Amino acid sequence: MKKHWISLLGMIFLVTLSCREADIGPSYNCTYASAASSTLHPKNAVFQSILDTYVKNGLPGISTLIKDEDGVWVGYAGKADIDKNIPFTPCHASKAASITKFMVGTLTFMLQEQGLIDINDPIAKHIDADIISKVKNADQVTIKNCLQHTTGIYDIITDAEFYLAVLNNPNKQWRADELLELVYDKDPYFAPNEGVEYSNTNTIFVGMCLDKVLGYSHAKALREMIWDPLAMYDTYYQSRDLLPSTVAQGYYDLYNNNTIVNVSNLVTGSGNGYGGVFSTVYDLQKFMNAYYFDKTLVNEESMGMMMTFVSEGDMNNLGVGIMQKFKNFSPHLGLGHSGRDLGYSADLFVFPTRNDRQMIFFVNYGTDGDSALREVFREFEKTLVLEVTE
Amino acid sequence: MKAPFINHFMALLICLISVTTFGQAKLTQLTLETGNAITGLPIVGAPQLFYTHYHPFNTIGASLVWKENGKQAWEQSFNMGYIYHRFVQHSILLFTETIYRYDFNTAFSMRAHLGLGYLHSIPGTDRFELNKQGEYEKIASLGRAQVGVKFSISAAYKLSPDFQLSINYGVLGQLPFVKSYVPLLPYNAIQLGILKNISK
Repeated sequence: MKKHWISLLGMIFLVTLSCREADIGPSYNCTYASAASSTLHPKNAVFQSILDTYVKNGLPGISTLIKDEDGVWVGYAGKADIDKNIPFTPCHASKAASITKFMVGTLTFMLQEQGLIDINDPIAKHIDADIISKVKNADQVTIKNCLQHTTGIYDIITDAEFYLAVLNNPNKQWRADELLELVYDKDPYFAPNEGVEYSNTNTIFVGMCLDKVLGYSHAKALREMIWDPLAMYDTYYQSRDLLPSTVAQGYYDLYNNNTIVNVSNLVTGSGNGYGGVFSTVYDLQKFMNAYYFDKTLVNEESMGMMMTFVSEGDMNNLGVGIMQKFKNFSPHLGLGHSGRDLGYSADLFVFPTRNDRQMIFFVNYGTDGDSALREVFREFEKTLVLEVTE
Repeated sequence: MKAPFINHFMALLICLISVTTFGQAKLTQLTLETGNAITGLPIVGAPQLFYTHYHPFNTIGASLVWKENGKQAWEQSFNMGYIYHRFVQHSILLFTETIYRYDFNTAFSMRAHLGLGYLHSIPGTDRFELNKQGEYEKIASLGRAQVGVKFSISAAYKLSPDFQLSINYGVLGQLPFVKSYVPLLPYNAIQLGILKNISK
């Protein structure tokens, strides 16, 4: 009988040891060349006060870059790692979340300019028929529909099974086809081209189309065609790149009891077109400068196609891989993209009607779920937008 | 979750254990079970249960027979369990099950279990609270009181007069879990176990 007990204890031991390394370990300090103009900026005290206020109100850490007629202002407040007491400085990479879609959209147009892909291609041209047949509406939509969210395809991020799968295997590196299994046979929101509904599933398909025409991962193309040429050396793609120790921890009030927990290692399908880019305010500014000001990534014609907007409710207009935001409270719409993930948030916007001022920030708190801090974040974002566009 | 509800539930559970243990019925069997608990809507397939990911789920328990009639019997079990779910939580369970047993022959039997109990959830990562100075402080994770519900079926095979080998598959629900995202956390659990008779 003793053998049975030994076998049971052996099994307990084995199952306890079978875990993958954490994606994000403790954060360390990093060094950066501070923007000398920040302290001389006439709004230095105002901007810094906004950051300090909202960190005191509960946002764990913020790094921000603002550019206006008086120059570049860079500021930060709070912690990249609360436990290790590491300040959240502008060199700490944080999750840009859905800003990934802006980069993937830009890459799509770059490849179109090279003749490798056509945004009016049906996605069925590039994706296996057995996958297309299992996702409702997928057989009728184009890459453009996906980038503009006019497919009606069910959003994986709203699905309970998706969260259960993420919880089950928190730091799994998901493949696109594995994620799509979670939306098989789910009802669409509307028929293609008959509505607008932001859906993360759309850009999973775009990523898969890019992988097919490239013959290798779009992650490699992002690095070789955008990040490396722009010297965005602090930008990473989770699940595709090893994340450095300068990545900030991500927090969320997971249990809705006014405490926050470290959710850095709950990886929500990163690296599949809809999220996963980690970056810094400096690197995101390089991307925006190249895209919007220098126009070195895509040509005017592509930019024109990307900036064909449809209205999505009271808050956003959706372009093709880009968005306009803040129309619910500001006459000056931000052009760019926002990012929201479980433990991280970010904004990357330029304000064309306000002298092309720029606002970029990272917050290491997830803000789309229903928590008390969601309103604190929204108030922070609104306050900053109004101050930047004043 | 209101604390009084938990207190009342625990009091009820303790009363039940006391009445059954010190009343007419006597504990007849001890169990030790170990296996895997996978978060997912019921019913996940064998690949997930057995090898895609592991959250060790171990329980010890004791049971008694309420009523036995030929091949059928009604039993009650009292159990303590523990699930380790990396980056999510440590779950400590105290639960009782009402069990229907059917003996196919002298060696093989099957059971249907319906359980309810207290689940104490301790976050598996650091937890912080904002102090009056507007700074986050790490706080000791005393955990949260939760309710656990469990339904499972099991099969047992007699190895010797005193020991049986069992396999138990079922669904364990934890609630409330995460507002917005996952209000009820379902685990699919499979466990291998040893049952030891302690009275004849």
